[in-house]
Amino acid sequence: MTACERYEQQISALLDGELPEEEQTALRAHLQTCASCAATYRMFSNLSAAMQDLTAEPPADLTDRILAQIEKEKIVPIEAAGPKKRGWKTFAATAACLAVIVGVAVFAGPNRLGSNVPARITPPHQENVPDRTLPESEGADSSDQSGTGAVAPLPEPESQQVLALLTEPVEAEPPAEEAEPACVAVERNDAGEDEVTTLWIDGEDVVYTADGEHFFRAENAADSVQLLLDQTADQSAENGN
Amino acid sequence: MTREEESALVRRIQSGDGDAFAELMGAYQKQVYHLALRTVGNPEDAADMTQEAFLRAYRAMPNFRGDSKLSVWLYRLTTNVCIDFLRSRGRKPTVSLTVESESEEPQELDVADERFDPEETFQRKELRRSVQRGLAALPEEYRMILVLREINGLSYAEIGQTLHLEEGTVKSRLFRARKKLCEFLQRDGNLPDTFASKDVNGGVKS
Repeated sequence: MTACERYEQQISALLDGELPEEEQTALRAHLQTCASCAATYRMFSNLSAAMQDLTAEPPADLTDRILAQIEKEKIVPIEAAGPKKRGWKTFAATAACLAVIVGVAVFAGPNRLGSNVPARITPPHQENVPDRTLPESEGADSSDQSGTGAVAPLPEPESQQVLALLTEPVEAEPPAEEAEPACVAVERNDAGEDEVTTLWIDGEDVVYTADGEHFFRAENAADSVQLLLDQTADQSAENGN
Repeated sequence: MTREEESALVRRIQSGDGDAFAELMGAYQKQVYHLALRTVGNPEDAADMTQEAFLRAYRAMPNFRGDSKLSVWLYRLTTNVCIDFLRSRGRKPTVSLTVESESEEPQELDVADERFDPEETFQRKELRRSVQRGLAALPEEYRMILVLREINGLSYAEIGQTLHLEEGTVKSRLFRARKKLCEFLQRDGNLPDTFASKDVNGGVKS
């Protein structure tokens, strides 16, 4: 690097207010005697002025658009609680294992849940995907009490929306035997495989599993998940299902 | 916004206060949009990038721990969204004169200060257009760092946090980006050392 190249770098830092005091004196002295570096100084300084001259106003309706999107997705932020980072890492490891699981979980009814694992897993190509809206539950009397007991796999993008709500999970025990699944979310991963996550609402929390072995609890997520499910059920009803 | 104000706002968002996120957007939307505009090059994509950046911010807010300033964190999200966008489409930013002729963004044309004489006003406009073309022609890494410095006004340390760079790299990359942009302007017929220069003692932080 020639002396002038070094000075040119310093000019850039000087204009940014990032040049140490002790280097400024020598640079200023150099600029008095070197026409080339003085021209560089003027160029850089005019360039800064020209860039700061650029302005841009976002579209007037952008804030409303973003808020509407948040509302539409029913994204409800969940209060960050305590040192739970480990849960995410464990979850990420689990998710990596899951990449090999291919299939769509189908709940025939809560009475078949037994050990809280998906009642059966079928490869997607068997076209055994049930009705995307409300399940035709065999245990209709017991499962239909809420009117929103959607245990059939949720369609995209609802699956993604539900999963997006499960922030800050911690490892958890499986839900109680009698707990009813709230929904099943199916997400296609980058490898084109379907990953299935089953969710139970447990009080204010959501308990979920993607492999039937590892269970996670997202605290205070029940309300936002339930909102989304109600909304999905309403839409299904409107669509004549 | 001070760090204290930031963390108070973050706490309100994290506890589900719906108005708090609108406040956050009010405070930073313009800067985020401008960063996106200069990075992707056109107003329509920039609005989409801004929306995506804020949605990601909203979803990720429970995990925000305040290791960096909220604004820097938002700019990092924005640059990531923009880079993903440009790379996924194998795109160059699409800035052109049409950016300025579109009616949605009249400000681009109207910022010239009328106190200047018409000749200088014209020169400033020309230079601005040339800078826009030059920015779009720059490699992504140069464009991004220049915008973060000149438009968003980040310090070297903050740019380092945003782009995951050492401060020394920030310094040398900014210099090379300026060199490149000046070369472009010279080829474009706009020599930015020809008018309205600052005093040699200007531009220095006290």
